[in-house]
Amino acid sequence: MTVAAPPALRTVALVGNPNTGKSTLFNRLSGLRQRVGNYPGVTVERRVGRAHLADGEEVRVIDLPGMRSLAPRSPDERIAVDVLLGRRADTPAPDAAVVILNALHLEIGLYLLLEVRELGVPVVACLNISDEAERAGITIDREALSREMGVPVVRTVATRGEGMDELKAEIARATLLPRVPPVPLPEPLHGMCDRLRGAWPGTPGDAEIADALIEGPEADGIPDGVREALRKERGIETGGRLRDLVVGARRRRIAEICGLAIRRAPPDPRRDWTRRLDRTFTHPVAGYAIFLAVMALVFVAMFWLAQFPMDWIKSGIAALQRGVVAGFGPGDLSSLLSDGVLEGVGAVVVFLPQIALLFIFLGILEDTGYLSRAVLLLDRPMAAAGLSGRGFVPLLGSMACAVPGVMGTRVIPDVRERLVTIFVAPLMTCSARLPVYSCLIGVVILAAPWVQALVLLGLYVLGAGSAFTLAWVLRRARRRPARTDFLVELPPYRWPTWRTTGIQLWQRVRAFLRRAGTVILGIMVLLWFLEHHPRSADPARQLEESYAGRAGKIVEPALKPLGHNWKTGIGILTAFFSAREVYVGTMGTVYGVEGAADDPTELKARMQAERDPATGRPHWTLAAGLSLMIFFVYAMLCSSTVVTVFRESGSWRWALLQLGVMTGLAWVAAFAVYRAASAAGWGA
Amino acid sequence: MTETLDRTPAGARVVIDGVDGPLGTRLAELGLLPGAEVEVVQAIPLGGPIVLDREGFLLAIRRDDARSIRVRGSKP
Amino acid sequence: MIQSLLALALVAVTSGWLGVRALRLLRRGGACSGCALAPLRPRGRN
Repeated sequence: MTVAAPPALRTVALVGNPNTGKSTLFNRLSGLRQRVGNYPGVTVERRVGRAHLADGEEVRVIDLPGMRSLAPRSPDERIAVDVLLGRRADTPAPDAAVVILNALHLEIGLYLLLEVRELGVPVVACLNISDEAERAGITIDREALSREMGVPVVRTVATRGEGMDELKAEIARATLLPRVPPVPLPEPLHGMCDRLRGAWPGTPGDAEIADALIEGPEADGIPDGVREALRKERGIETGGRLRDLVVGARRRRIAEICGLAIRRAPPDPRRDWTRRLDRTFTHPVAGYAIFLAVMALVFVAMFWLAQFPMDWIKSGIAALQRGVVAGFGPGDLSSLLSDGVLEGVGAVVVFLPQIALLFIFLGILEDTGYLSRAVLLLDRPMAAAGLSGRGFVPLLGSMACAVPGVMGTRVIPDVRERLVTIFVAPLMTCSARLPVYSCLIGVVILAAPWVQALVLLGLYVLGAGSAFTLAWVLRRARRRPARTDFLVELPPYRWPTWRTTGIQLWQRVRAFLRRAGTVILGIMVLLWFLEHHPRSADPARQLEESYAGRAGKIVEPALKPLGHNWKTGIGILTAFFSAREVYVGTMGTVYGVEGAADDPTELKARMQAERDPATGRPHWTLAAGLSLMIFFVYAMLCSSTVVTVFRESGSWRWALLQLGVMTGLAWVAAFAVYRAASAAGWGA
Repeated sequence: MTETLDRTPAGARVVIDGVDGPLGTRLAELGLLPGAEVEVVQAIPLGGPIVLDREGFLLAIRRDDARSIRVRGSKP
Repeated sequence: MIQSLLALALVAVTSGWLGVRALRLLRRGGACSGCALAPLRPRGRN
């Protein structure tokens, strides 16, 4: 008697245009049972989850990046196409695809639906955002649509969870259907693609080759080795005719289907809302003023609101420290845990509320649709710096972390422009700098929270401004930038979806805590050792005589002109080899080593109490604080970024040049600020 | 009379005559084919992008790119 | 003292683990968990 093996886990891929509520739907299907990571080697986010279908069985759900068509125009879209076609070794070929359509713009989304259906994969069409469409007076005949497209059509409202049961039922049915052979392209395109496929690097889909044939061999983004073959194959055919053959034909079919399936009531008042708001938000004066005001508001909230949870965390850590010392009694282990681990990791974790607030606000801005308008407002100013629209996203991403930002520059086809973008990306204020700025501002800017917030905003603006200025300087050394590619959809304004924002926030928070609990914890342990050995006879001089202290002393001469000493040296060194926020953790341990083990005074107070041994005056003056802040704005204190730049640019020279230039810039700027601030009397 | 999209005043409805270059396919996929009617909503200040409305779908393109889109006035 | 031994053991294990991570980082280039702070995507990005 044999027991049947359980059926292998089936896979369904979610595809759709951007702004179709795909992520919300994905969250509805898989809840928190999702894993977010990266496709190996690229910055493309990979989201895989599990969904429970009606009869209790599970199905794997892959949320693919949004795309307009199967002709890939960015690494994102290329990965999505590869996954759909089952060409990736690391991802199972989907048994079915759910194409998510925005019911408000059905004609647009049907293009992708047609393409995906032609692939031969079983398809379920999902008409999302139906509530808004119905409110706008749009009636869609689902049966007609289903008949004409040849696929089941489910009505959903992902934000409210409507239609999910029907969707799951259709998915279950679809995953059992067999794949059919893909519909071939019309001649002469089909023959051309077949002949060209061999010459192409990698495994391109038909859509990609067809797109190249349509755009012509001179277009951007075509692999170099292929241009000649492309030219020959194309012969005398024009892009226009080829385009009409494929794209035009599809659009005509879609127009036909829409005529049968969609009925529109007169224009909806919601559009007027969006129009009216846009008139203000993109006004030449009010628009920019509002943008700055919004940014300022975010920062103020981050400082003021965050206080409360931060205080709570601080007292929690202090309680833990007391507990450890009480429980273990005096000794090395207790010191390691209390002064090393808890002090150091605690100093970083305490900033979690601020980072969480940052992500909440940015998430809201994106959700409401405002961020797209901001992208528009900033496009032209960016172009002045020689950066293209494609460069904006990697730079914006660098504000979370420069590593994926630098990797994200792969979307820039022009090599020289790409190198410039890589070069300036680390100047965008990454989230790791936030704890450092917060800490320093707290120590030396003794003013109302809104003043502190302004200083923080100023540092952010300085970072971004320097990035653009540097790009502009580097632009002088190149020929004029290549053609840009800019097509931005402006979604209608809407209230943010708390659920999606919540899930995203949770993922970010978890990532932050994991980083603190692993890498940073590890560094703190190591650091404890370096700070407490070799053993000193005099406990007050322990830090100075330790390995860490000695290392700090070596770099001290370079730091003295900036108003700093060997203790800061230790902080900078550890930050470079791990992460910027480790600076704060290090300061925690550095000042913890000095104080008594159960001294409840917080880091800020201890830093403020620091006195220069020679002059007896406070070390952390406004001048010293500002100079270090400026130093952090420019310095490349992140070895991960250096390594990533090396990999992405392919040259050690570029990476080292960047490191050298940034370090030099940081030193000079900090020096200038220190001198100026001291002269202004802020150095006493 | 044909002119180009970048010279079309805000608020005007025009019909697309043709698009030169690679932009054509991207726009075509979105439904902005020759024969499609589109409204110019506004131009972003500082020489910024132009916002278009195609049957309720709002999108923005660079002014430079708009220069390669030939349009003609639509019949009211 | 037991405490010193335990502390040193912890340090040794941690250093080893950090070393392995550093090597992996160098080989894969930027695989730090900062990537989990994935970049924001402005809507309408193409």
